[in-house]
Amino acid sequence: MAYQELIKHFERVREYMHEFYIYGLRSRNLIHKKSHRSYDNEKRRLESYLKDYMSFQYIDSKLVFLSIDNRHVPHNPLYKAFESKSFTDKSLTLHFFILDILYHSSVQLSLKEIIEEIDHYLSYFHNPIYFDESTIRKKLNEYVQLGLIQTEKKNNQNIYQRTKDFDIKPYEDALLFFSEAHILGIPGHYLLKRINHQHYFRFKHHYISYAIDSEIIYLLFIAMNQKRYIIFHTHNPKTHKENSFYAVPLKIYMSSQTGRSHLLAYTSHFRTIKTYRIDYIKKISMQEVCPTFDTYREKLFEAQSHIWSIQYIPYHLEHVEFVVQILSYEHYIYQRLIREKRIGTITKIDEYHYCFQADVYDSNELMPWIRTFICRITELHFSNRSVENRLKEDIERMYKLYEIGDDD
Amino acid sequence: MLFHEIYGCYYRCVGEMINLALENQLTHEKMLDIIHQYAFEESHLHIIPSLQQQKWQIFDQSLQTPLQHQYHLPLTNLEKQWLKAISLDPKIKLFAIDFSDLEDIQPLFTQDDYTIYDQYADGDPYDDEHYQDIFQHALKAIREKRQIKIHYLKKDITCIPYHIEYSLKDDKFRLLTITNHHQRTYNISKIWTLELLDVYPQDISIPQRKPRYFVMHVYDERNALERVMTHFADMQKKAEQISQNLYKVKIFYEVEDETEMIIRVLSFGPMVKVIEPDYFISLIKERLIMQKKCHLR
Repeated sequence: MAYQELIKHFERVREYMHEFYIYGLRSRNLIHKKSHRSYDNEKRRLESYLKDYMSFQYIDSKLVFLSIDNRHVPHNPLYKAFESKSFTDKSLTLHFFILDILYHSSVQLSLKEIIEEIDHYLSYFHNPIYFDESTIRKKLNEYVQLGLIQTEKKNNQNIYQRTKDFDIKPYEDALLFFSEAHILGIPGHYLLKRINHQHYFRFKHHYISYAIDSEIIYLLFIAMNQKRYIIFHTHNPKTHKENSFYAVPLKIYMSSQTGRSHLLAYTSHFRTIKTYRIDYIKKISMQEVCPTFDTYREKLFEAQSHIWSIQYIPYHLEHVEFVVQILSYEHYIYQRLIREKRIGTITKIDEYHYCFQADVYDSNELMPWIRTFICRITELHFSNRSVENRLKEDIERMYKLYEIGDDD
Repeated sequence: MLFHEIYGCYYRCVGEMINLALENQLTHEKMLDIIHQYAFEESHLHIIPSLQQQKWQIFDQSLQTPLQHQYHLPLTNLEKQWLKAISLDPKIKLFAIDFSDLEDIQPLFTQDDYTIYDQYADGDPYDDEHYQDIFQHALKAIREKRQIKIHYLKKDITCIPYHIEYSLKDDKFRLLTITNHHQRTYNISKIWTLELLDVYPQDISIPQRKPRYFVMHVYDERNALERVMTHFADMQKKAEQISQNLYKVKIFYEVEDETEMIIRVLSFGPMVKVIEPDYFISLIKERLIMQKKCHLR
């Protein structure tokens, strides 16, 4: 298919965006099983959005992926992708006609009067487009749904008017901040486009890839808001395995250290709460209201004190315990433990030793955090011995990797 | 609906053109300027012919329009619901906004709908009125391009603030400043007083610090490549494949973040190995040697 700037469905570019963003250094043969032309088109599209932020270059015939520090990015460049929805010629013309006819909230017109005004506008052109009544009615109804206009019945006919003006200038600073810092910032980006603004904020530890999944996150918020079941389809790009689930979304778990987000949902088939990667969710369709939504959410709330990251495994708790050495001048390490421990307890054992303990659903999830204390770990006690052994083996492997001998 | 053409850059361009046409200011060059400002690189190849050929019946050949009013888009339900949702965030108190216009609006999401599970626990005190006051004055100083005098960790400091930086991981705001011709960062929660001074000259330049770097090999086992690339996705980097399961990634960082970089590298265990510079390797080795002396049980 020839390259087009505008796209009908965002889903078409989502998977590519994830792969380029994460695996930008992989060549097209490795990245995907789709056609080379699709690959080239989507790469071209992403490069157009991200040209000042990321690039893919061939250096000595090797593909090299370059990206800038997100601390210097005042606004998320991936939001630009949400400005690329395709439309018909008639839709665009009708949009500007309708909003010009209903130029103020005090203007109230019937469908017939709006059609007359549109005909008047069209008479300006030599070869006017033809709009039938049903097209105009549909567009008006669509805009009522979107909230651009409102309607009320008067004398047995629908009267349309623009919704009331709303000054967003007082919200400017909050928009600048939340459009970037929130997991669903894209509506803030839309709002910001309406006012002149300067960027006063910068963001450290800023993972812009949240934006790619905005549409899915938006639908999950709606489902949770309405306490609905959903059917969702997943696709694992590594295994190419596809699945469908019938579930009640309960909460989105987002990471401030990877930019990845997961859905925790009650899945009727398994009769328990399961975790799903949001970047693997392809499609969501709303189903009926779930009468036991609050009970499931309460269950998740109770489980939270045992979830280190995202895993919930019912009736299965593993004990994790490790001891670190903290010298008298290293109070900041104790503060680090307190600040970074998400659950569990810290106990002082003696003058120089502190013990972290927690019962968690999956002790694997703690491994990266425990490794950050390398240089002071004196004891490891996991009820899941294979995880404990793997952690110890990892440390041994690191000694070998960096050639640390017994004499060092 | 989140992905809709009314939010698109093509609609925005046409709206801007209408506004100019109503002032008899629209020219072919200005149309191109608008497209280059708001749309994509190749958008002019689609927008200009569509308008000229009157597929979109907005302007005639002389760029006049039958439309009569300046274009502006009313707020959508999505936008209002989103504003309502952010009004529930604890950090909204920093912005002193009156949300009474949104009383009848349902929020798009609430704090119960999501959690940031790995955010640090000692975030800034957003409920503290003194903190809110310092934050708002800092923002005012940046907006009005004024110097400030702050009392910070028992010292009086005069500086030029130019940005406020937020870290989601730390849940902290920091003030980025030029202090005595150097770039300095101050935690807003540790600023005790903040006094607005005079406007500073417009043409200040922010002193750039030369970033440090380290290079690591990533061994793609236990999904390490994906984990490394997502974890370091916020950093300036250069990455390339060396062989089937071996990748080389160069990360640039600022000197004040060095300890954090060591910790981030260590979290990947033996799946990554720092290969340069020697200085950074020795920092990792130092920790491993200390670990060995702990006689882990």
